[in-house]
Amino acid sequence: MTPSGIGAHREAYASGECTPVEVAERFLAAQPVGGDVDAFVSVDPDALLAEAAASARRLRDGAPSGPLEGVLVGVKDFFAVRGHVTRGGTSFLAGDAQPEAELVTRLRRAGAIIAGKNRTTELGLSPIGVNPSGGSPRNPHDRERPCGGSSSGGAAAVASGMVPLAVGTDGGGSLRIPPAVCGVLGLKPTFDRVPMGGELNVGWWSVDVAGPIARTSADLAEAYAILADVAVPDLSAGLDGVVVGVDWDWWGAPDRAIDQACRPIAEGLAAKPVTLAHMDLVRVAEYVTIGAEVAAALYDDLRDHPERFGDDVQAVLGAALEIPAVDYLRAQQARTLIDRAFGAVFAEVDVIVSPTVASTVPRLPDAVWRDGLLDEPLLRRLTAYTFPANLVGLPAVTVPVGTDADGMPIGLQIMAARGREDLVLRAAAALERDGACAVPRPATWFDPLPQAEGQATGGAPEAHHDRR
Amino acid sequence: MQPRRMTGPVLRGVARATRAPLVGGGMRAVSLQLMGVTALRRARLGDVPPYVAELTRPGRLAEGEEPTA
Repeated sequence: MTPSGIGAHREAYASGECTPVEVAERFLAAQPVGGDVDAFVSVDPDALLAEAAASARRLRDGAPSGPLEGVLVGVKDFFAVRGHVTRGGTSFLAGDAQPEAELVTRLRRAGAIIAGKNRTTELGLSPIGVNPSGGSPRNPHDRERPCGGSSSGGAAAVASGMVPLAVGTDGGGSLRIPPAVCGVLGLKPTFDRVPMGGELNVGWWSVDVAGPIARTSADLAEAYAILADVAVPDLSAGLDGVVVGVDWDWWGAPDRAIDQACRPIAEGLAAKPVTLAHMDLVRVAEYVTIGAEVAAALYDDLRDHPERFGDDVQAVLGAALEIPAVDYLRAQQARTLIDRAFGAVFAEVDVIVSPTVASTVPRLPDAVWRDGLLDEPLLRRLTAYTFPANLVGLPAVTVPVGTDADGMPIGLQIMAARGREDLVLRAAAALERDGACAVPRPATWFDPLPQAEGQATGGAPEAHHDRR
Repeated sequence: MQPRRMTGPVLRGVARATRAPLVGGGMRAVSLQLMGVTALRRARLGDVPPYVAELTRPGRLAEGEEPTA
C-alpha cells in the first residue's frame, strides 16, 4: 500500500493511529500556500480544521460519510468551493464561491475534506506551468523547474505528499502533462463524464473535462467513480484480453530518456502496430479550437482591459481573436476526420500507448518565473501526444514509468475509446503490479500521515529537501 | 518575424504589439501561422461535417427507476 494513498489514510483512521485533524494540521504546517512547492493559491485554515474535526467525529462515531472520509483533496482554481474566490489562474477574474461545483458536492458527500484551491496556469492556457499572474508552483523533484500545466498545483500537491488526491481539468493535456512531469498518475475521463457545473467559464467548451490526480491506480479509480457517480472499475483483470496498440509514426522522436523508458513497455505489452490517419491536423485543430473558444469567452475583457492578462496570454489570445470563423469550422471538420481515424483503430485494438510528453521541463531562471514564458517548441513537445484525447473526447491516463538522468519523472499515456475508463485504469493497475509504473519519491516531500516513515503521531510534517 | 521562444521585454513587446491595430496585424498573422493554419487551409476536408462532442454522462438511476433495455 502506498504510504500516502487513500487506503493508507483509511487504515490510519480506522486503527486510531491518527485523526483527520492531525492530518489537516500537518498539511497546514507544510505551508501549502507560499511554501517550497506553493501548490495552493488559497487555503482557509479555520474552515479546514473545523471540517477535519467534524470528520473525526463521524469516524469516532462509526458513521463515515463515504469512502473518502477524512481524506484531504485539492481542487483546481476553476471550480466553485465555498470560502474561496475562483480566479482561474488570473489576477482579476472572480467566480462565485457558491453554489459549489457539483463535483465538489460529490467529493464532500463521499467524506472528502477540501484542502484548498490548487494553482493553475492563467486561464489554463500554458502547458509549461509558469504563471506570473496567479503564481507558479515549483516541481517537487526540482524546484527550479515548473510542474507542467495547467493543473500544475494539483500535480505538485499530490507529488509532494501534501494531499493524496487532487481534482483538475484537462482541455489539452492538463490532467496528463503535470502528473507526468511531477511523477504521479492522472486520468482524463471521457468528455462529459464528470459534471462541469460550477466551473469558471473561460472557454474550452468543446474539449474540457474534469478528473483526478493521485499516486496509485486504485486511488485514481476510486476518485473517478465518485466524480462521475459510477461504480468503481474493477482493476483486477489487468490486461487479460486487452489488445494494446501503438502508432510508431505518431510516437516519433521524444527525448531519448523518454523513449528509452516508454518503448520497452510498449514492446513488452506486445503492442500491435496501428496507423492513425490525419494526425497532421491534430495540433492546428486543437490550437484553433481552444484559441477561438477561450478568446470568445474572454472577448469583453480582452477588448476593454487586455493589460490585466499576463504577457504570454495577451500574445496568444491577441492572435486567437483573429481566427476566422471558417478556420474554426474547418478545425471541427478536421476533428470529425480524427474521430473516424480513432474509431477505425479502436476496431482493431482496445488501448493505444504513447509517451505522455515528448520532453521533460527545463530549469528556468528567476526572470522567467517573474516575466512569463511563451515557448512554442516546448509547447509542441509537451502536447505532442495529449491533444487527440481532447479533440475527440477519449479517456486517457498517464502513469509514471521512470526518470531521466536528472531524476525528472517520465510518463506513459494510455488511451481508450470513449466510455472505456475501465480499460485505461486496468492497464495502469497492471503496469503497477508489474513494477513498470512506480511513483518516484521527489526531492521535496511531506509525509501526510504521522505514522509514515516512523514519525511520532501528531507532529509537524518533516519536509525533506534534496535540492538540485 | 516573431521569435518562437519569448520572455521578459521581448514577450512584453510582442504582447503590446499584438494589441496594436496596424503593426499588430502582422504579428497576429505570424502567430496564426505558428498555430499551423496553413495545414488546415490546405487540407482537403470536402463535405465532412463538423465534429459535435458526444454527451456521455452516465450518472446513476434514481431510486426505483428501471434501466432501459
